[in-house]
Amino acid sequence: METCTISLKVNGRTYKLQVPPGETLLRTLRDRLGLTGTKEGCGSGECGACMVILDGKAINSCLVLAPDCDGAEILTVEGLAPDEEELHPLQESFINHGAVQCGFCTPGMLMSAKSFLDKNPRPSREEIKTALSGNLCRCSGYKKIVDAVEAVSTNSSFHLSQGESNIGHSFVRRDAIEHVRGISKFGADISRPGMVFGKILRSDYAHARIKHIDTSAAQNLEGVLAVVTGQDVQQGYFGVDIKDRLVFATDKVRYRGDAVAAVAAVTEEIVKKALRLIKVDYEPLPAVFDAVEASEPRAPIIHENLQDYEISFDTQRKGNVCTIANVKLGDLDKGFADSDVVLEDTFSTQIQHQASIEGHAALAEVDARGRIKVWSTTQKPFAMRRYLSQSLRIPISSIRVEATKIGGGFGGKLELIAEPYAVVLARKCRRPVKIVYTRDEEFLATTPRHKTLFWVKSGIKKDGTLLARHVKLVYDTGAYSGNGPTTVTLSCQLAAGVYRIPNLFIEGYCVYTNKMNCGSMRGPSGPQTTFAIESHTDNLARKIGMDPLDFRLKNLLEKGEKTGVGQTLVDVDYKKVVNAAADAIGWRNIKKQENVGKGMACIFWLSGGWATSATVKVNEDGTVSLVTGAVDMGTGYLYTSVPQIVAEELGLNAEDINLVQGDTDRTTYDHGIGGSRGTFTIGRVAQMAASKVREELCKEAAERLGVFPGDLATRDGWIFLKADPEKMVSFAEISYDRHIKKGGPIFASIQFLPEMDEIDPKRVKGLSFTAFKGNTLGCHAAIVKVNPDTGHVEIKRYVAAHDIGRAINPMAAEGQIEGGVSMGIGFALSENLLIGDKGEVLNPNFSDYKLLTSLDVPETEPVIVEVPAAYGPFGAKGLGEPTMAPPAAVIGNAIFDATGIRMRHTPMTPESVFGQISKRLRK
Amino acid sequence: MSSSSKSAYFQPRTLKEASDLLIAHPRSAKLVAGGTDLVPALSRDHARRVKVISLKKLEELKGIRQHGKNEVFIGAMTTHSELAESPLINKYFPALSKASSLVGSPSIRNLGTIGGNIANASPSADTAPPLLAYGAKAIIRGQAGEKQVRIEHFFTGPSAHILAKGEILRGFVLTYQEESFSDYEKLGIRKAMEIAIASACVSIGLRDGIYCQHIRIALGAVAPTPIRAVKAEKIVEGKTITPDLIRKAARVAMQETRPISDIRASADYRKKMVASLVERLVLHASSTRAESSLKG
Repeated sequence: METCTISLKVNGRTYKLQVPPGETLLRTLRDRLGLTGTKEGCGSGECGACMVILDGKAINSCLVLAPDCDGAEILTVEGLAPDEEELHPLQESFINHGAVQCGFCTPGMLMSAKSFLDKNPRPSREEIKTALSGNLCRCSGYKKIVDAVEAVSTNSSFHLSQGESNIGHSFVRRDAIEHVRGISKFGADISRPGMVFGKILRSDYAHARIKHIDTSAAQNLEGVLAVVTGQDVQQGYFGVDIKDRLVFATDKVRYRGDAVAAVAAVTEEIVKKALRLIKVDYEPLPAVFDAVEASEPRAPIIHENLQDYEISFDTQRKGNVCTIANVKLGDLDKGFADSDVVLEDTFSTQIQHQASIEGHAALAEVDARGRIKVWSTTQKPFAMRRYLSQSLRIPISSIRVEATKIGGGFGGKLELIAEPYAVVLARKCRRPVKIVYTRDEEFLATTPRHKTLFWVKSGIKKDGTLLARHVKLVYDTGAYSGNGPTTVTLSCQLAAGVYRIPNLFIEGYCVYTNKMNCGSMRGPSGPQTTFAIESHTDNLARKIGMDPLDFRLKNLLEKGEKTGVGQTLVDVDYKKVVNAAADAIGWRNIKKQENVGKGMACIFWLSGGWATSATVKVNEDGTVSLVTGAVDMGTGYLYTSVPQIVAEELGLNAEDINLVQGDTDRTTYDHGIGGSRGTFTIGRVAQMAASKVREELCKEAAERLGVFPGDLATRDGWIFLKADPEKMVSFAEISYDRHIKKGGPIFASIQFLPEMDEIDPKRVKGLSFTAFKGNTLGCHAAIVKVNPDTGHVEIKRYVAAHDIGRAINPMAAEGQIEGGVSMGIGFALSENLLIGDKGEVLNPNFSDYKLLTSLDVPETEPVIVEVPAAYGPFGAKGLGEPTMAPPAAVIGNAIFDATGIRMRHTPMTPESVFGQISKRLRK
Repeated sequence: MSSSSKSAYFQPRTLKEASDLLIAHPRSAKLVAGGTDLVPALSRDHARRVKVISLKKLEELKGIRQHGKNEVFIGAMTTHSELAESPLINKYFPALSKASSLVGSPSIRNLGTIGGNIANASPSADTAPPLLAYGAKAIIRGQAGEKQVRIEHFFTGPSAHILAKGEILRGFVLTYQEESFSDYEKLGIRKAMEIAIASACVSIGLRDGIYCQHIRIALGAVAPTPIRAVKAEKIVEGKTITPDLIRKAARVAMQETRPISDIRASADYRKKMVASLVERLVLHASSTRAESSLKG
């Protein structure tokens, strides 16, 4: 290959480089100059993560050929700050405004903002949004980013609330500085000496028998170091609830994307070429892509050995149905018979993808003794190790998993994705192997949100009292069960809604089809169930001419009452949350205007439990290290609320808490992050460990001061006598002496499995789990305007109220709400992963899988409600997931209010809204 | 010059040089302007041996210049940002500025060029309807010299155009007409980063605010190429504009389209949106002119 000699001035330094003709500036910056602060999110100019400033203009470095930049001046995020000490005002502002969540889009955002403000120093808010409209952010909902840029443009200073307590103030996340400087190491940013590249060969058929695989041509290609198929490795079945999946398909492929082989080679170019040289002889089988068709008796069977798979719970399995879950209560027939009005509705939802701007990445390295180290973008390092062990039959002790920074998780990084392939390739070629998924692969072969179908029938009295409900819900889990059974279980729990319904029958079905395996996206089952149930709720209210707010207030469950599955509600005040949302939007005072409507919807959720452990250890200077096996997928709980909790418990400042996290060798066990468990469960175990350490410090202080431990208090790293605060000793003094004179240690390690709440076993059958503690409620309300000529829905206002128990860090909580709502609006209006009639993904890119931009997302008004949970740390409850559940129902209900049309399918695109409006006009 | 099996990068300084390179590498040569469409395609397919001919250094393709009394020259390498911000274009061809300001995102507009947008020949190209509505001519330079072709004749199908071997699109010539109103609208799902589901540009010359002297209606994403709705134009031209007439023209425009159904929208929706866009644009044009003539 010919190369071009170019000279680039990057961040003030000149580099002379030899690059191939087709190399992009992005590759040059990342691979040749090691400037990994510039991120790759899509490789086609559709996400903005690779934004740099080229000769004064913000450009996508993935769209520019390096040879075209000869002689150019380039500024990357690493060159933004004037020096090591000082930050650029935008960097400072991003940190202080909570504009940084996972941090992956941050460098690109900063570069767009910088070039924009250089040209237009006093912009309007709308102009800022336009300037950032090519930078996708999946976490924040953009509001805090726009705030941050606006603050710089108006030169307004920002003061974070600082209180006496560590709890309840917006402590800035301690990793934000790494993100704004572009030095955080995400999955693709890690490299190792001698590292080579791996890639996966995927099935071209949705359903086919593998007759033969010929890898000889690929093996013989120069530069190829390893070619692996199912024949070459020992495999074990793996899966979350049902072990139905292998790393490599051996007998047959079950979706277009199933892994058939993997290749490692010295360059990515050779890897791609080698994949094309592998010949797979397939015998195509009939495929099925619709969950209802797949449930029919004569449908092609996707898993012939379904009954033989190991399963972690008791359920019925038959044909392609891998879980049947039921919730039953009261006498359904009588309930309907006693009702004045009975109403039936059907709804359906699409496949939504987590679409983290960072794709999956894994790097595996095998040491001389055969021990494997895996760097992974996983949300669950310990589970990842277990899954690797199960699926590749390698002892757990031979594997170490270290989580990298995660550029957005949203439940997409819970399962085995790229990791096992990197491991088998690294074992085979004895070189570190890195696999980074392309955006295309992300959409083809990861674990998005389930497509669903709901049939809902309810009976009510004329006064609005709910008497009976029957629901059938069908989840299309794709080729493997994945998180399907758990998602169906959750959906069954949610399908009764937040209401008192004495007679209930909910049937949930989880069905295999020949599509990608659906997983556990943020609030699994939440948006789907809420869209169906809360749209239906409005239909019920409208049917009897009742205000949907009054209907909800009448039927809402109260503290002490039982949910559909029989969980007793504690520490809740549903009405308070609903009223908070209604008051914030001014529900009762909204004037009726043509094509303008209001809507609301509720979601109840739980705060995730699962086992964990934590160690709190005092260092010789009295600062503290928190050691946890958990990771932070971008929400920031581990950098904000958890250190705040530990600090408050100990009597220290949150700044003095150092974190060790997410590494199976250096930390103790954690289940993995997800299920809104970060603050609630990790925070709680950290609090318990901190409390024990405090006890020990106080004991020692009491001896020194000659008082009883109970007479002591702690604050700011000091232990003092409550009655005489002059009598005091510092953590540092105690810890220093203890370590130097005795060898230390001062620490506490605590194990913790939050108890599951009791449910009524008579009511349920086939559920994969019971009920977590920490009930929460969210209620959203919006005003929308519908354009009847085009079907476009404009959100004029959006209010989101959530009971979060106690806002440990209000700014981080707002960030969760704003980001969740934005994702929920994407589900409601634009996002839709489309599957063609051969099982192919039709839109595996950000141009047609439409994440909303800064110009599309309304400025959500978060309302924080605090009904403390006795079980949560300082009363906190989980928040991350339920924030994204209501928008589709809220918007659907508002469209109904505006136009009288009922949207029954998501996404509610302009075309579908227009279609419904035209249909009504024809009638 | 390298052998044909290798990839290579060329940065010609003259159109002649570029044209010669195209002739020398008929199969593997690719002209790269802004790169927004081509570069991702190149990097997705590493193994392909491509001869990149970069247009970045071709002065002949640059600039926006007044050309005689009523004409403006726009070089093919003019970026969408430059078009959106150019006072000359904003004054005389505001719909082209607007269309350029609605391409992709700010950074895409900093890279993408009008020449690339047109030569890529996507039916949904944002700058095509304004060029059609303003009666632009494409300037094409080949081995035999330079010619001007009406933009209507440039497109021959999706991703297909009339450029022959060795020919390069140098730019466009647009003629300004007095007393005219023009506007562009684009429909998509998002407000940015969007490929049009349907787009329309109307350029209209009015007398006394209500009498249509001339009109051009151009449509995007509703046929194999960007098109003019000539029959719809005829309905309005030479007549006093009334709401009924506008509705009729909009219906006719709809009938002139041949949209496809794809993942972005159905043919039916696209057709209906054409009617809605045309109606809105013409109505807006006539009301704006009526208002300004009242004030004036």
